[in-house]
Amino acid sequence: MKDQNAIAMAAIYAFLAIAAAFFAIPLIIMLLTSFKTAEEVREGSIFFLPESWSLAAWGKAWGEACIGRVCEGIGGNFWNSVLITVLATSISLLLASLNGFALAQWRLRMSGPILGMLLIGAFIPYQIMIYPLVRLFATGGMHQTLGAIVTVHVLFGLPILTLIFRNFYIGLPEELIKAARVDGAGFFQIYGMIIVPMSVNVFLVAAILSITGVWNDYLLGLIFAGPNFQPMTVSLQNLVGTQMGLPEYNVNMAATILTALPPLAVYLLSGKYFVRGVTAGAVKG
Amino acid sequence: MTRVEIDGVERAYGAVKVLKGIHLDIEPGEFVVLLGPSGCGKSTLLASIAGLDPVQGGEIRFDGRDVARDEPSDREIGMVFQSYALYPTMTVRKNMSFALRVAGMAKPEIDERVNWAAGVLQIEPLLERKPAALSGGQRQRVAIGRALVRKAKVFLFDEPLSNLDAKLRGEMRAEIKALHEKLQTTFIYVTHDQIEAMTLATRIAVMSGGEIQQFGTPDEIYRFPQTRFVADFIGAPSMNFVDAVLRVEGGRASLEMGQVRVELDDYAFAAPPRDGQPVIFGTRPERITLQGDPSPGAIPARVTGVEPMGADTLVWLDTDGHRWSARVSPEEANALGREVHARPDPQGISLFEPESERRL
Amino acid sequence: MRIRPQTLARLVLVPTILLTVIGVYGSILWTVNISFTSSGFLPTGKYVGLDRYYELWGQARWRVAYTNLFVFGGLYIFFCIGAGLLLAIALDQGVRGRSFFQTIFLYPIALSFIVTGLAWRWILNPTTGLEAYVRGLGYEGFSFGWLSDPDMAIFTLVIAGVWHSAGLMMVIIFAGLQSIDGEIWRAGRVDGISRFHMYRGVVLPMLFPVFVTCLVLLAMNVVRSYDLVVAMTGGGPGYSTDVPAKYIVDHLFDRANIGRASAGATMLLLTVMAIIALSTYLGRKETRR
Ligand SMILES: Nc1ncnc2c1ncn2[C@@H]1O[C@H](COP(=O)(O)OP(=O)(O)OP(=O)(O)O)[C@@H](O)[C@H]1O
Ligand SMILES: [Mg+2]
Repeated sequence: MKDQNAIAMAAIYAFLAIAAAFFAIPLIIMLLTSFKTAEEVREGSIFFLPESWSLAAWGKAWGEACIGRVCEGIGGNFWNSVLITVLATSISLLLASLNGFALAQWRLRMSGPILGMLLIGAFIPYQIMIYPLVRLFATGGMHQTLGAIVTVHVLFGLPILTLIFRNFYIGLPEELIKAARVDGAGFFQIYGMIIVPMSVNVFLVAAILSITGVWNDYLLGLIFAGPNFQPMTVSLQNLVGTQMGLPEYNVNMAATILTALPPLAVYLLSGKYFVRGVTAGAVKG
Repeated sequence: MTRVEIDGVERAYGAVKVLKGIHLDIEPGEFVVLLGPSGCGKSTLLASIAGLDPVQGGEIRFDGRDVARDEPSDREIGMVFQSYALYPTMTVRKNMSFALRVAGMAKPEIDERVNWAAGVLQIEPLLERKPAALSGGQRQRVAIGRALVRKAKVFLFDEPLSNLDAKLRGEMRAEIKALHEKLQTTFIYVTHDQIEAMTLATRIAVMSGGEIQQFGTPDEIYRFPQTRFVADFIGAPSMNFVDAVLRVEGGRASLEMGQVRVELDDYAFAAPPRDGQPVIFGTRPERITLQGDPSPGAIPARVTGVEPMGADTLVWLDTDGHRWSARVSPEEANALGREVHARPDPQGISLFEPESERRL
Repeated sequence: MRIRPQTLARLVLVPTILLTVIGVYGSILWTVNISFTSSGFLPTGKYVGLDRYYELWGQARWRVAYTNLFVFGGLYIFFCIGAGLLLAIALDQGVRGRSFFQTIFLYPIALSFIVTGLAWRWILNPTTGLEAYVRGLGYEGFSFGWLSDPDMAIFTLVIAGVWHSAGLMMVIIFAGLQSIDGEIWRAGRVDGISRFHMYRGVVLPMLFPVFVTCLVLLAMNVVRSYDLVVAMTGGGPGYSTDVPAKYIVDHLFDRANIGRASAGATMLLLTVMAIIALSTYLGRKETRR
């Protein structure tokens, strides 16, 4: 019996180790490749360690790599992505938390249908909506502007974020809001002075969900951001896809890791909040 | 000191009428307790007075001014909730000063008021703590303090003590009473605890099914219940009832219960009694004496249980199929056999009309 | 006069409602409407009935793309949930270093599908990646050229997709396993039921709603799968790995055939509605039991 258990546990650990290798290897290979020189990449194998650790590929990816004929790297697009993510996330969080508060605590007769309308919309693939939105922005003179890309991110991010806030606020006692109203606080005072300080954790979870979602987006950035505000994912794909001559795999991998770094950092730093954030979509309303 | 007049207030959730035209005239500085079973509409009435729940009919007047459509904050009320509803992210001081800060009061005056209220409630050492670091009784005090600082004209309490343990409840009860005496403000207090109602109230409004059953002093409510519901609801154990028939012979009224007759010489009839009129007879447990031997006016009964309560003893009786109780001294209880005779005190009798269940 | 807080509560909802009604529902109606017109480079108002749908289904590329939705989707969902389940059960056996393993299994979900696609494209590239490495070890005959094989390329998408999403399934299923009352395990031990039979007969059926959630989550990824295909295969070789999401975007922007793209989008919408209906039905059936 004891032996059987030991064998079973050994098998489990072996399985977990193999799985861990499967998940870890792509990242390891990307890292190794990004530190190699162009020559080494061509001659060596993907699993070999770099002979001399070189940062050249990273520097090139950031500032010199050519996308088509423009050789400025993807550093500038990094800042575009930061700008889009910060704007879209702050606006979404503000709207979503206000919505969640309004839907949860004010006994509005239409709150059920409104939530339903938001959530059903959240299931529809973007492909069905992008062209009309392009036309709409073009009509408003906003096509391929910062405003357009931020607006679409807010539009598509709001349903799930609103649901997260609503689900938290619905659990708060009604008496809290009643007490505040007797104390003379208005809607925004109750929101700002009582509700927001109570929901810091929820803001964190929602922010993680929004940041990773907006940062990792490709399709919306491709269509709505335009050349001036092109996010990093789009320029990364262009960099890898449009190289002339021999592909510089080390530069590609450095650029890929640069693009992956911010959400990876969020993942590693936020721990259990990240899990709550990415599974928040799983809780049904 | 504010007079509160509630005049025909109505409230319905969909088709369900929760308040069916409530009338209450509360004198300035009174301590009115709304008492009634769960779900009878007490909280709804209180929320209507506070302005938290819109009313659909009737008026609520503070000193003659109709406030029924005003926002809660415009009514100059203070309110204490059952769950305390303290703002969890704010310190006690911040909790208490919140209303004043929202109103834009100057800082020195805010400090002065908070310190005054903290002094009254003896919570000065707690001012910098968060609600999570307070005990139930301390939270309760803070909740009251939050109402105090506003120097409200009317104080509303919704079952403020029901989350406390029995001992603390007794202490807080005394403190709230002392507070009322000190402030002389109008208090309206919801509870379903009779002891609280009896000890605190200048007048009690007994509610049932969205209506006021009786509005009177604790003594009136206890001794002269106006409806069978009030008689039954007030007092523990509740009043003993039995069906009987009125006899009027030569201007003297008496009551006939099977073989037993009880003289009603001292009973103050609301309407002239008729001979042969069926009634419900009621008497409180402590208004019954138990004897071993039969005597005129004593009802034969069998003892089904004895519960010593310390100061007195409850004796449970079976009187021809009715379950009665009698409160007697421990000595008397010890002397009893199985068959006894229960003799109601003629001074402590209540009679109700069987149809309307109103007092005769 | 001050505005009542209830009024403000309604007012703060207005921007979101407007945005959603116009941006989501208005756009859907617009697209469905256009799918019945002869629109090409620009939308026109000339209605042609179901012509665009016949045209769509008459095209081999769309049929491949639509079939791929189910080939890729079926395999992706099956392997994600399967791998997630195995990993979750393995981690549920009281192993040490659980949070270490979890961190490794879950990190890909933080990456975009573009990054995922590029990484796997690099690894599966025959001349530089795995194939070259194994040949370098001396196995000259080894070949792993799925990426450039029209029949096999779709499976490389499955590998990359499972790598990306299996960790999330593991976390969700693991949470479900943890939420099962310990008493049930003790009852099973008392009755002498093996762990394997406990999982198969008792625990997994209890997790049915969790699997429905996983299914919905993954199905949404499948329907939206655009980035992964673009980054990894670009739809090729030929159009062997095309998917509806890519087909629609290509026809909207590169091929300027809005009508046909809209017909494709409407087909995708119908597919999504069928998935929603199915999952609601599964959810209902579960609660009725
Ligand atoms: N939002 C609501 N919708 C529908 N019915 C309600 C609502 N709020 C209260 N009610 C109903 O109104 C009636 C009165 O409720 P209320 O809270 O005033 O009772 P209460 O006397 O305070 O009871 P308790 O002693 O339990 O607090 C109850 O029957 C309750 O079910
Ligand atoms: Mg109540």
